[in-house]
Amino acid sequence: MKMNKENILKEGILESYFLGDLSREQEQEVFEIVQSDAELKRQFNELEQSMEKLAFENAVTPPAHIKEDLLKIIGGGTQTAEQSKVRELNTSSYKRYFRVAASVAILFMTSSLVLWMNLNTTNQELTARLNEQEVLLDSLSKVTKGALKNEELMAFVNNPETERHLLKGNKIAPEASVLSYVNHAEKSVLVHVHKLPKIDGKDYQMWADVDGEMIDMGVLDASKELLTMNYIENAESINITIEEEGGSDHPDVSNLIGSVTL
Amino acid sequence: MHPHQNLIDRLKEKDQEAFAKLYDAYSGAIYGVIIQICKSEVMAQEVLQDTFLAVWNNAGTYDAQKASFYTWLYRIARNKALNAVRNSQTKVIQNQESGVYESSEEEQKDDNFADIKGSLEKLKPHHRKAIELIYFNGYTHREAYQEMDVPLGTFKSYIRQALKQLKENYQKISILLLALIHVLR
Repeated sequence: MKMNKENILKEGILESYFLGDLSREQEQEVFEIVQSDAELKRQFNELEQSMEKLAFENAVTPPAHIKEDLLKIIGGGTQTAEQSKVRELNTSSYKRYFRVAASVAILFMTSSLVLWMNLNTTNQELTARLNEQEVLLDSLSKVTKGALKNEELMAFVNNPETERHLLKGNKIAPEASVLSYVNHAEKSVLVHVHKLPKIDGKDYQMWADVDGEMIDMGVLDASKELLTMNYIENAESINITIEEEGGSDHPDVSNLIGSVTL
Repeated sequence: MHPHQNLIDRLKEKDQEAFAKLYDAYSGAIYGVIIQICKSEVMAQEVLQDTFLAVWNNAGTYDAQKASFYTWLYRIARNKALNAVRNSQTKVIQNQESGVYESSEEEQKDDNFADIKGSLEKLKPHHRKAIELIYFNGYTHREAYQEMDVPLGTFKSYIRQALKQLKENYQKISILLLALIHVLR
């Protein structure tokens, strides 16, 4: 029969090869095919291992005299062989203990190293996660605050008791446009700056007119859109003047840019 | 690399100490096989001795590339055991023909030797029988399928399945060990 990988596997030739049941020529042929095929070689090695394990599982201790006879026949003489055996047994048992101890130590070291590396990685990851969490919490709190602010603002603006007064600029600042929300019940004033042209070295300041007297409501921070101003009781009108940077105690009426009656 | 490579190399150079160590390592396993084939302790002991003498004398011809040391040893032992069984059977027939009564090896056969342990025990009965016949009893494929009274193809598939099962059993043990190491880690 012509040998090939397929019939070697299917026809049980690998087993016959293992058993030594093939003719010399067939054995050589199978050997060459097995050598050239990694899969067959692997299967043959597995077969060898299984058979060896099977034999060791079914081992029977032979009578001691067989070894003695054999050693006599091959010319070693039992005594020297036995002596050497005893000596070797001692050293080899030390060696064996040493090997076992070394193996355990290596295993322990390796596992410790792996654990330590894992711990480090975990710690780094944990720190990174905590940082991320902090950033997220921070953003969340900002968003929440913003949302609350917006909510309060909406509530304030939509409150039926809140009055809206649009203040338009005069000739001095024709582009100026400021919307004031005044709530007498809550005694609060909110200003929405639509437009206030920036003037170097000067500030816009808001005043309340009470019986002809101008009372300071605060400096309008031109960089902000929404501003809370001081609420002044019994104000008849709201006025905006251009003042020195930081605001003045008394308004420069010649620089009045707009006024709205309440 | 074979765990006993150093001993095998020394054996090839006729090192008696190495021979003694290899005998210690393998004699039990191979004696178990021999005893299964011979079914007689007296015969098995002779075969074991002959086997190791052949190992000593022919160590130079052992080629690790072709087979593991155990496989080589097994082939020698199986051949010698089968020859011993055949010779004893011829002797019995001759004695029966000449009418001379003589205590034969055949009569000393003890069925206790048929006690198979380990992974083989876990196989299905027909798988186990097939392996026993081939591996432990030294039957050829032809003799074995006739003994089991099944077609050759069926017998071959028994062997294949049995070997697969054995391999898986051994792998399971390895996996268990690996798992244990993993748990300990």
